[in-house]
Amino acid sequence: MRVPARLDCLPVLCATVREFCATVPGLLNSNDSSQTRSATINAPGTPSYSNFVYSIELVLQEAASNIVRHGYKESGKGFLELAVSLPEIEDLGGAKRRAIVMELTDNALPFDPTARKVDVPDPLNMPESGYGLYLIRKLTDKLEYSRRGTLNNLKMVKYVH
Amino acid sequence: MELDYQIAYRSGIPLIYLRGRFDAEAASFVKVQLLSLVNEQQPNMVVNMQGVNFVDSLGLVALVSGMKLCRKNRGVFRLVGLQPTVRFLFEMTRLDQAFELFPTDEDAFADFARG
Repeated sequence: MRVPARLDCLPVLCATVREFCATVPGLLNSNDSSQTRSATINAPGTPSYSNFVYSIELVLQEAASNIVRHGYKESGKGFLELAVSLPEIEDLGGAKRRAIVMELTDNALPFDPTARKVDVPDPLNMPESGYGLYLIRKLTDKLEYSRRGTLNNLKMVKYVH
Repeated sequence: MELDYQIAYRSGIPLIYLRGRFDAEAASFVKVQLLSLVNEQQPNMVVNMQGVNFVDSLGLVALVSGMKLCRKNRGVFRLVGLQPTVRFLFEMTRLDQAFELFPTDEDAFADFARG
């Protein structure tokens, strides 16, 4: 899906991943009450399911918002392209796991959100910036950035089970 | 913008109702509104978030700015009725420790009325 690089287009992108989450087997329909990892995400309406979907949506919102505001400098020109998939990928231990993969492509200025040092927010100082990158890092299991020619590609991975 | 903004006053204190999606697009509008309502004579504010189902980092920053200005003027800034997913975001960013959170408007205004 491709949308113009504007902040008012981000809700559409987020709705796309929200609807995608609702189709993921074992995420929406899980009745598994055992103490396995898959049971950490339960049926709809439960906080853990809602938090999972919220996390996915938030990661996308933050990444896309950064691209629109910093990459394109809110010029309103340019595009954001989103691809969502559900592959099985190897985790760090070599085990195969189902994951939601969101890939954002744009032709804005180069911006690598994986390259910066990100501090845990200090509630006493209440910083007025820096939450976005922190949330992207915190709520994904894998984050990969590449630039080919004039295109940025950001791959955001979150395990389902 | 997919956020509704409404303001009421109780005992002279602004009570803001937000509803919908409190995101990057809405944040600058809300921030300007909040900051325009706080000064030395009127340093307090309550924001009801019951109808807000999504907050992003810039939504959070707008609230942080409001709280900081209230505190600078020796007032208080209170939030009412965070939905569970929004509370999850506050916990993730540890801002649940920074804000005064209340379940209802009545709770948030209880000690204003007493004081």
